[in-house]
Amino acid sequence: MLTFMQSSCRHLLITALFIYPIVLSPPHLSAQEVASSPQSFISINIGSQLLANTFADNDSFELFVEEGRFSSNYQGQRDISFDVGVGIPVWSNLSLGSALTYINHNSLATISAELPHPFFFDKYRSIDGIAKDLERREIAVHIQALWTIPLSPTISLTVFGGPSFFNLRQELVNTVNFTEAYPFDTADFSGVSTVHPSDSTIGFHGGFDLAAYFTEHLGLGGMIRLSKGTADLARANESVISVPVGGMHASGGLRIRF
Amino acid sequence: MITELIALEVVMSSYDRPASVIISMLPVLIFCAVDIAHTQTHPGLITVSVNAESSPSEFENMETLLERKSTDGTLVLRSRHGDNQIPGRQHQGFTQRYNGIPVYGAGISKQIESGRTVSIFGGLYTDIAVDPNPQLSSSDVQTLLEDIKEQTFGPAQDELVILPTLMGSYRLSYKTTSTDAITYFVDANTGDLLFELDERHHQSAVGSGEGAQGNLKKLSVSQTSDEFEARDLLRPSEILTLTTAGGGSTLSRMIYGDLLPTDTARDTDNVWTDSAVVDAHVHMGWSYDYFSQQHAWNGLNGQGASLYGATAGQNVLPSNAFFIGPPFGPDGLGMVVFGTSFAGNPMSTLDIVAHELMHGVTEFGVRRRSPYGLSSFIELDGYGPTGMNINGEWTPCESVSINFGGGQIYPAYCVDGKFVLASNAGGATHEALSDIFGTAVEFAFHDRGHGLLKADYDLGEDIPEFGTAIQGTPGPLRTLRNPRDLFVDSTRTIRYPDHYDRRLRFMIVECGDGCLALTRTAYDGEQMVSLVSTDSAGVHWNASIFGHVFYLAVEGGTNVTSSLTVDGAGADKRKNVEKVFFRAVTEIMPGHVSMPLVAAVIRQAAIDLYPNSDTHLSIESALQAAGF
Repeated sequence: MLTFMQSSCRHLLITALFIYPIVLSPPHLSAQEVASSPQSFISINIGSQLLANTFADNDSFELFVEEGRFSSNYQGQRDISFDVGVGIPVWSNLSLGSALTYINHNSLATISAELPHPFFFDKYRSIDGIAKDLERREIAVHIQALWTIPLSPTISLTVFGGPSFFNLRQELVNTVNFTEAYPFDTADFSGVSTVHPSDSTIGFHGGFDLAAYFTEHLGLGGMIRLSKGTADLARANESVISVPVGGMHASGGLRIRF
Repeated sequence: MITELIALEVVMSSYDRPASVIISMLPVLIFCAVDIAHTQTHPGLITVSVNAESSPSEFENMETLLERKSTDGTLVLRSRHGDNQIPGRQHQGFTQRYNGIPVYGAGISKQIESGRTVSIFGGLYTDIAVDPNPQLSSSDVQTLLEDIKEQTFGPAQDELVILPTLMGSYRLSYKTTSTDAITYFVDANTGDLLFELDERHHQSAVGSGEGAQGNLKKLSVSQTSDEFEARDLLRPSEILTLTTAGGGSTLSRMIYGDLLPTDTARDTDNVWTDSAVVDAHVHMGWSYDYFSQQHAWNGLNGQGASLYGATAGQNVLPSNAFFIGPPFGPDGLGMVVFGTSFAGNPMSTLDIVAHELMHGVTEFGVRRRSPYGLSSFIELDGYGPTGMNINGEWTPCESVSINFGGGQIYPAYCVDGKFVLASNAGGATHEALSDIFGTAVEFAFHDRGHGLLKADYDLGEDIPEFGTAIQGTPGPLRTLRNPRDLFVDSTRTIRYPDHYDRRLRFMIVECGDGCLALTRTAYDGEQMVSLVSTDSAGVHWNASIFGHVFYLAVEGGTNVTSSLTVDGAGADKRKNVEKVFFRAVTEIMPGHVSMPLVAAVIRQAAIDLYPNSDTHLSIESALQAAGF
């Protein structure tokens, strides 16, 4: 799934993974200081979105010299997310860091449409259907300030927050396809055509991370991140739909401190 | 006493289907003298009506007669088709022949199921004694016609037929339809012009007033490279709307099937501004939808043939609309033409369009059993009073004469001192069915109510100037609800009939040398009055009788003449009643009818589809209330 990542994101990840620690790596600390002061870290997580993003889209179109309407209710699916983060201490328990979250999953949309009749005004045909496997790819870079609270020499709780930069690529229903035949009083849903607009936006995030270290450098941790933003996606007809990005993610994985 | 009365109106009247007038300004007609003193119809005519109410012996006797006539070649099986509504039922159409020559208007329609005869309807002529060998050729006849009519005809389509005449005799005749869309019956031995039949089914109206539509409608059209044309390709039958663009010669060319690409109505941006084209094209589509979805009848011929309609301005077709059947029209399958009222309103309101298209359905429906369709025939129809009031003075029949102008004054035809009368049951039935289904289509697409674009039982109400011209106030041409509310013409002397006994029958005069002619003097059961026209022996006027039957069967009410009250089937069963009437014309009705025969056919159709139901009982009650 990582193969879907754009090259720019890959570059960003490399930077996050390697540059920050190299450039900003603090001096080696003693064991007593490890317990009381944050250290540079790398976290690698796999998680899931706790609450899927849902949104609705309403659009109109012209058919048979009359305006028709359709609505699409998109339901995100709770799929696997990948998260990589780094951080460096800057002062006391305060660290600065960044994280990159990648989610790529398919969603579905329930469609309902009101189709104008070819022979009569104000005599609509209703159709319903489901559009499956609508691609949604969301990449977020979170710039964060972190405050680490050592709970024990080996367990620490970190709270964090800051701005987030989202890039969303969402497959949207563009037109509703249907079949019909004389006398045209009914029609049948037969599918959709889609577009793949994308948008970048700025939001924010916050959360906490609980890490337990088994060795001086390695540990496991779990994280809850709540992020929020709104992307504006342009439809084929150049109208714009606002789509939520982010959400509540829960993940866990490897912690590396040094 | 010679009395100045209204001159005879000869054929070609607008809004008519004149199966009319015997021409008198011709070479002398030599008729055999026939005693018809006690005859109400042609003396040789046997009306056949064997149906669900007949006894087994009646069935047996008729079957025996038909079998004998089939064996001796008098009756020839011409068509056979399945029933669109009752699986397993078959219909057979027989034509009567004399020495191999068809007898015009005669024939039998027989219904069979599982080898058992269900019903038989029709008319047969007896005692035919005619030399089957014509002395004139068809080209001789065409030359004669051109001399008589003082015009040149194009290629004619003619056949030899045996024509039953008003006098009660039979004549070997050429039946020829020429370029003026008139069918002529010419004696094949003497060249006498016996009968004329206008093949155009018209809707007649004269009036004044205001009319307006103005509602936005959708047109199903097709797009060419740079414009749009009124060609409906979405419906199973192609519907094409033509425009004559103000040219009478253009209309004639269209009638003869010679279409040019420029004849099709067009628009550059698909926002149509010609309201006549909009109404005609849309209403033909809706009418098609009604016949297709309600009755499984696809197009005019039931088999998907294209529909052709044309709009025409006042200078081409003033205050008129008509259907013309095969062999005319772009595909030889007929077409409808919508004119413009004297107030400038297109004659293409929904009920008028459906009315005209129903003429096509009737034509093709009956042609499944009879080669001539539902024959429009002026026939003897009983006797009237022994005299009439003329200028306030009682005048006995023998003293009544009609002045046709030019020195032609002819005496009324009297038998036993009574006026001999004539009517046109076939033509009236044709018009009644069109009125009924013009109404039915209106109910299918408009909300019920009164006023413009509402569904009601009035005809032509959306062009109220016609009502003004006839009734003196804006309103409809006719009404199925209570025909007695309206006068038949601007003389305002006779009202539309609602009962068989009040049907309009017309005085006949003896025009010399065995000739009989129709006059405009009508008898409605109470009075004899001179009207503005003959209406081809009252085809539109007598149509209101069966139209009223339809209304009573659906809505219920009291027939004014009989005072009998009918419990209607109800608006929720209107479609059932429509199916009965539709079945009557497309599955059962023979080519030659009388009004009682039509009533019997309707009864049979009701029994076939809804035996002993509310629909059946309402129809039966309505027929009885109307005198059948």
